[in-house]
Amino acid sequence: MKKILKANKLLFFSFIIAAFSLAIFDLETIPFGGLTYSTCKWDCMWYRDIILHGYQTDTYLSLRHIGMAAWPFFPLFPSLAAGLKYLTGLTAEGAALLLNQTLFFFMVAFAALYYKKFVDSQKYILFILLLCLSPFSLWCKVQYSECIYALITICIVYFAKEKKYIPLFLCSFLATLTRPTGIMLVGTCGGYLMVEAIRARNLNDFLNGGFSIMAGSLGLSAYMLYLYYLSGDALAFSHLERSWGREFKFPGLWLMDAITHGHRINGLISAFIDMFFLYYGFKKRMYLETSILTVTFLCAISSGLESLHRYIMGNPLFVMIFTRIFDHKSKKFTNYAVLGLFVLNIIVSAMWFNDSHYIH
Amino acid sequence: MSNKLIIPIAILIALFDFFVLYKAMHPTVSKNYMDYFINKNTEDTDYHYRELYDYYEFRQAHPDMEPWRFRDICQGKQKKCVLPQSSGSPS
Repeated sequence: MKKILKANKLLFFSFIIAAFSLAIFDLETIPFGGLTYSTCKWDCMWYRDIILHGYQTDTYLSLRHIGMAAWPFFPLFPSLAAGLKYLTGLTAEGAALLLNQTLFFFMVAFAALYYKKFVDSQKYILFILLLCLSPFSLWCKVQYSECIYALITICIVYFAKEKKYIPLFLCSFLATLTRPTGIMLVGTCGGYLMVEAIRARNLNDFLNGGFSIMAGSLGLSAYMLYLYYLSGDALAFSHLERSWGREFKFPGLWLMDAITHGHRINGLISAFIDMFFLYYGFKKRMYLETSILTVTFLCAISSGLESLHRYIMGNPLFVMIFTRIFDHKSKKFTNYAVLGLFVLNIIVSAMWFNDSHYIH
Repeated sequence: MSNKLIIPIAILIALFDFFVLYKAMHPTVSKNYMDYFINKNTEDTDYHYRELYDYYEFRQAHPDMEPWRFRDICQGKQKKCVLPQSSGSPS
């Protein structure tokens, strides 16, 4: 038994820390009205709507949601949650929470494996602690598509670096069915493989890199075709973003807008923190990981600052860059920093349960 | 995957993508979404005035939330129901 535990130290440790992190998070919901109610905020209502009723043919006309529909919420997460709801008999938000918190274990384990193999073979325990106990994991523990998207992201970068193409194609297909930024993720990864193949003068790797983008486009096209027959507009998921106040502008213009008008300050602060860590990621030569985050950042910031922190900081690739900050720090400083982030995590979770709009 | 397999599958996917792009260029709905759907629904006899969720009911009666979505505010499927006025519209 000891031998098995020693051999699988990473998996065992990631399982224990993920379980501890989820236990603290779930127990914290008690004073806020219970587990499924407290966690189901903001976009969770849209996922709940899809799980219960599927995609509707019309937009809503109620005052609170006038002109909105669930079309920008991509189908993989709600369809898996609907399947789990059918199998277990749980409520919609209960099934979605169970799905996410189960996938959380796999996401943490797989991200830790990736970090140990491709980023830093020494400090992977610190990475697991930061991934699970810091506020960055908040959105992976609630009924959002962050957890499944994080898992698919890690799978894609892992298979791309290992050059395991068949699983890479499958994950690319699933990524574009999960979030609108999935095609950016797949495109960046495919581009990285193609550039590597040109350097190595390998035609087969070049074609496989390109094919991963094609596999991703297939998922997006399938959803677009579904939307076309449902609502009459294949780009409904994009056009409807206007109902959430999102429209395309040159990235810097949204920042200028926030500075001059003094609103969305949380998005503004997040944008500058993100930019620092993107610079730091390139400095640490984490090219693939930072490129994916940069493309996601540029795509997100060109349509507004809303939820920018979630798109970037909720990604395990961001936590990998963040962990590198502690490369040359003393053990004492690192321990205090982890403790501080854990306390911050509890505060941020309480803000979420209390309907705070700063972190959705 | 071998080159012989990649190229024909990639061509098929590209054809499918072009077909979807063609459909995306020719939507069957008006560009003004809100007007389009409000007009469509006021003309539709069996439209129920729907809400995504009701916050207070959601809070109080959490276990049985499914029926809330269909609230017959429009008084029994009437054709001319009172729709909410968008802000800024003339009173």
